[in-house]
Amino acid sequence: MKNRVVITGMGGVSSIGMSVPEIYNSLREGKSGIGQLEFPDVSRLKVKTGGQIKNFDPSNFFELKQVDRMDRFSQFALLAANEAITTSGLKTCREDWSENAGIILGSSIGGIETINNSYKQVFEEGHNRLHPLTIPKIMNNSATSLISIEYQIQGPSFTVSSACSSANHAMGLAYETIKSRKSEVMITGGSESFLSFGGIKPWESLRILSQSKCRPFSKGRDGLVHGEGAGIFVFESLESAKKRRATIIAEVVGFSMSSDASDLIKPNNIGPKKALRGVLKDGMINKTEVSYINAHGTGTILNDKVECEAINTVFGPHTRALKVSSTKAMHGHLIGATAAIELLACTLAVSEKVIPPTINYVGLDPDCDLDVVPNYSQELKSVDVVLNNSFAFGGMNAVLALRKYDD
Amino acid sequence: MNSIEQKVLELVGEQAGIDPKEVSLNSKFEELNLDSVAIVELVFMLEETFKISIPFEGLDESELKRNFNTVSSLINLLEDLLQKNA
Repeated sequence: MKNRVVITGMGGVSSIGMSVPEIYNSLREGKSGIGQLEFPDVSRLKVKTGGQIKNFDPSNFFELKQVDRMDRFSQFALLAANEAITTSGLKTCREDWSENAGIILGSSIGGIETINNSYKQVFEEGHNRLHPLTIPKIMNNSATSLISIEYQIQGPSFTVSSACSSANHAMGLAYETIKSRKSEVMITGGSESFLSFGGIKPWESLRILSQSKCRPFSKGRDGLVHGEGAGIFVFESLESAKKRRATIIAEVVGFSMSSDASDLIKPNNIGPKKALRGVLKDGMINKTEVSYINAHGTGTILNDKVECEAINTVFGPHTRALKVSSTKAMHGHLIGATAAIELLACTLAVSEKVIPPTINYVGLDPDCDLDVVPNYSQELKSVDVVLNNSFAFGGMNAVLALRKYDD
Repeated sequence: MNSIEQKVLELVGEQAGIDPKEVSLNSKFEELNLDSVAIVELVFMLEETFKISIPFEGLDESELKRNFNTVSSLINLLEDLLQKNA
């Protein structure tokens, strides 16, 4: 028999809050974390706004020795993991919890801050040697490894990279790992920090960055805005959670993946449709049970149009009853970590029946004629199933489904 | 104590996360709780400070143990290398 999988711990750091209660509050209030970017050489960028974690001093959270060994994206991951593991109560309930637990995180690029600084040293400043920890800080699995060392987690652990879908792929695989009884507890989510000169410059060339504000699904939208941070969760078998009387936040009930197989940057609706149909089938979910979709909703003209087409086709007449919002207008696009921060919007919907808004919305675009919860959050009478969409560059799609936990 | 000794004690203390005053010439590396990363960082710092190249890669365990046995054995190695460079 397959395991049922539940969420028993959550952690997050982002421009809209440095803990889950803070992030929940911002999501509820429609508060934006987008502001002027602050880092060396920012004046040479065309786009200077983003969801940056300001005044972040790692020495407030880690010993100095540790700080040297971690890129910014790993520091975010460790902080969020600490909150998730602490709030799950695992440490106090089960001494042996970490022995067979695993970690699967998503990150699209890993330690890009370290890459930048190292390139600067060798190319610009003419140094001929780099710090010995350059590679261990850059590698995509760095955050995963550091969490495993910190908490002595000895089960299946690795990092997945699929651009903007990384965290959803990671969380989906964590769900599958518990479902198939390979592990009882999985730490999962994503972490990313693109916000540096060398991180943002290449995005300018793609010409998809907003020159004004990120306004998903709205008329006048002109692109995405970057963000940074981490979202980490404790996924656990229902059996284990019940045995230790853990607080159950939501049940993970379905996961589906697909590939557009068509274009590196231009999305089509075939892959997203396939992923949406797949998640309903995997979770044995009736369309009409779905209350809310946290959309990929990047705010680019094409992504939002294609995503709406896919939702309309798959949900048919039920589309009119669906709430579909993109919280990226608040926290920015966290790329490989975005699905993890957005899963917090989903857990907020499931556990408190609050649907976070799509802010910066200024009016209807006929291509995106859905209830996108414009500008203000809404409280529903009931929320049953919610979906978390990720549709990445390269055509990699992943959708995760949560359901209100019911014994 | 000469300036090389002083600098080495300082760097070793920094890597071990303890006050350099607690490090002596007789301190053994295995008792200083330096993990593999700290040793690699220490080698890097010594090379930067003394502008030398310390043989490290490809050394077998016994050579490493000899060079990184006590703080004083490391200083002997450094002095040898500095003399060769002179």
